[in-house]
Amino acid sequence: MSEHIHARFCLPFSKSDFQLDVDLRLPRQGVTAIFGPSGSGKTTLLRCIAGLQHSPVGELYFGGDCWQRGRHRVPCHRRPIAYVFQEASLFPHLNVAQNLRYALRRAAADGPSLAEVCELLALDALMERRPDRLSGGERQRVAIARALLIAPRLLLMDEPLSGLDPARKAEILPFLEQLCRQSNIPILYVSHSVDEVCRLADHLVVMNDGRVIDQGPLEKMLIDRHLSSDSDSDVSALLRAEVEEIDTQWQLARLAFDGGHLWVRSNGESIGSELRLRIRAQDISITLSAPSDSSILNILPSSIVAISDEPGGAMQLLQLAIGNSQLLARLTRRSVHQLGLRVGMPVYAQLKSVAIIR
Amino acid sequence: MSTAAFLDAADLNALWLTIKLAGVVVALLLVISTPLAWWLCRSRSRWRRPVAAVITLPLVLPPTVLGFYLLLAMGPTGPLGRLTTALGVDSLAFSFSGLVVGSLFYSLPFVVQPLQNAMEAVGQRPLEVAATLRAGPIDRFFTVLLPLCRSGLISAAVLGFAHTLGEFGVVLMIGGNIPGETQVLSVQLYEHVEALDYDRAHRLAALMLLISFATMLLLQWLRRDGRSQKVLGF
Amino acid sequence: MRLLTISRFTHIFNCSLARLCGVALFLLSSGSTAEPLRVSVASNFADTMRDLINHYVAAGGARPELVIGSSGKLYAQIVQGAPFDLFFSADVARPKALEDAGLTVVGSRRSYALGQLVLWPAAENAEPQLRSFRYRRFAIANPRLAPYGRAAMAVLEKLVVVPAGRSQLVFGENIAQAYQFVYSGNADAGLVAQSQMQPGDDYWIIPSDWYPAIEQQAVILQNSRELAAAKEFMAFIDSDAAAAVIVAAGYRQPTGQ
Repeated sequence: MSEHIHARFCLPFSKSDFQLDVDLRLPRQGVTAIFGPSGSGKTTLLRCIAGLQHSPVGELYFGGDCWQRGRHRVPCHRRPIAYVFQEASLFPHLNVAQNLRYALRRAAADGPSLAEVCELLALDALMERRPDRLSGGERQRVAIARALLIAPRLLLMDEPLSGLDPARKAEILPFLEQLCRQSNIPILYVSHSVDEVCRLADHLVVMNDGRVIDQGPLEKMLIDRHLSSDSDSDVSALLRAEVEEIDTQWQLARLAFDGGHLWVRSNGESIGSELRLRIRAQDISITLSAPSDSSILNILPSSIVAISDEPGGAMQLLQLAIGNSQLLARLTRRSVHQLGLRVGMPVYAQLKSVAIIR
Repeated sequence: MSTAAFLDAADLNALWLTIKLAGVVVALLLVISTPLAWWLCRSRSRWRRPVAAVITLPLVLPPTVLGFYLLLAMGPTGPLGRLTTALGVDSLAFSFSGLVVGSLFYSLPFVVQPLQNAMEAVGQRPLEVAATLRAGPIDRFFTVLLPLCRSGLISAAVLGFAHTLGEFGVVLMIGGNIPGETQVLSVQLYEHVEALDYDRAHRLAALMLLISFATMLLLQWLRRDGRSQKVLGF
Repeated sequence: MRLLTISRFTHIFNCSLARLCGVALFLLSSGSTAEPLRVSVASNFADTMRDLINHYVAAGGARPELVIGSSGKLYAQIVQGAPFDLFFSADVARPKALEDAGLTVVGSRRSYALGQLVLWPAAENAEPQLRSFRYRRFAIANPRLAPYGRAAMAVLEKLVVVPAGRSQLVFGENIAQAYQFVYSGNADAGLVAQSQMQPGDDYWIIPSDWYPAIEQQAVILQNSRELAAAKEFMAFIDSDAAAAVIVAAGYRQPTGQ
């Protein structure tokens, strides 16, 4: 009980329809991504948790603390949260330093110092600027810094990158990754981008039409729900691996994951560091026997757990188990038929590419 | 005799009284209108529309109507008259404070509307942001809403001041034309015209024209300032 | 192309305007062959004038049109050429000024009524009451603008309550507003016109020798197009029948024309 965030909200939209109808237990550590198409109620859920929106029927416990129950409702400004909004939300009448001090003056006592946060988000050069003299990415960095300075016990982020172009996203993602890894504040992160979710999240809540469809560890959700985003229709799986060995001759690194090993290009990682690997379903091909004449580095013995049709009919998705880890492979229906692939068969998965996403 | 100075003592007295009246009224109106405009902006109460209509009424109502009802209300049997009697203070009719009360009603829409527009333009988001940064309602009001409404506040103050300067109908009805107390510029001007003293009338009329023009010019100036302020994000 | 459109529009507009004017002229001319007499009258005398007109019509006269306004405004309109036949002012100054400007029919200026000042409200011993002047607020008409105001000031000066009681005075723009101040209870009492008193009002008529006569004068205007009818109406005003109506309304009959 006390290790969870328990959120139950019922927000009527009209008499017959719900804007939000959820009953959730969320982990109070790591990054929980709330994933779903636009209009699925993600932002509404976040706003209800923040206290920005009132759900007439609802209960909200943060560990042992009750934030909402019946008529009792802690107002937004008394909840130990911070909120990063989708679009730039800096106060236009204050410069960067004043925006940050606005939070600092109202922060809980045990918060990070201005210097620490400025260093984490590389803000030192921006302090005297007005918000209208900042780029979109810089504005969002300041907004994140301001949220951290308030010393929240829960950080809510509502698609903080969605308003930014790819270059700005690339600029700000490393800051977010570092933040997610370093901070011990639980983060609820609303997103409709699989890429962002894969990079940042540990736990995933999948929403649609104001309801929670499924939730669980990120790896499991990717396999089970075949998640894809609008911009990137390809499904993928996630592996967490540790650098085991560096081969300096061939500039390769050997990674261990729960179920086997992988070779990837070495990029200066140190032994023992943890990596996240994203493996796209379309980058996996299947052979029935272990090829000895392939150029492909990573050929992993695995077994077929499930076969499912993709909409459209020509393609099928194979769910593969490699030890305790799972991957998805995307094959044509004809290949599945020609190879006679069935659930339970042992096969070899050839990984054409492995993306180190973190 | 009137060649010595541009204005004689009585007209100078009226000018000073008028400026004092407009100043006091604007100061009070800003205090009254800011929460009122905020309520009009935010409230979903069913009273919102009727209240908004009552506030805007002086825009379309002849000031003499307002003045007539105020005169009746300030009488010993009227609600305001009973209130002043109960409080043991002097009657409001024919007094400076009476003019202040009348002008509060008369100029209210000119102060409430720019404020309400400014607050609507600011929107909810900056206040939500402030709430997530632990700012309580009063804190948000002073540290976010008011600074962001700066140009609206200036417009409201200038319009309220200018409109009170030109007030005539209400003052005529409840003032009693007492020098130094209720004899403001517009009434004095009217009296000069009625008494066929066109020379003095001209001076006062030109002066009022000048003051009004200067005020409006100031407003245009400050508004341009305010616009550049508004471009800053959100 | 654009010019064409505009000229076509202008044409249509002119045509409809001409038609409209035609209709208006027809309506104006169809009522009676002669234009009605236009009588401009100071607002304080308007009610009495309506009574007078009813008597005039009952005696066989054609019904004149009434134009009501303050003497000052009517005066300004007449100077600007307003098409009035007669002007009943609330004072002497404006008819006199019109006469001096040559805007009146020579010899037509006459007093038609004398205003009577009353103390209102007044109890039994009104005179000592007025002399002691224990009023918080006392309403009179503005002496600079209104003959009733001048008369009231003369009364107060004669009784020597002014200048001591000056701070108690409030000034109506005209006698109607002075009445309003007392009526609404904002002034305790005032010097108003007897013609304003309603049945049941308690008032005290100020002795007429305490103040200069509040003479109301009338003139026939120079640019009258119905001179005969105007003279006929003026003759009626001078008649005993009219005098009775005027006295009943709270005025005195002017003495010694």
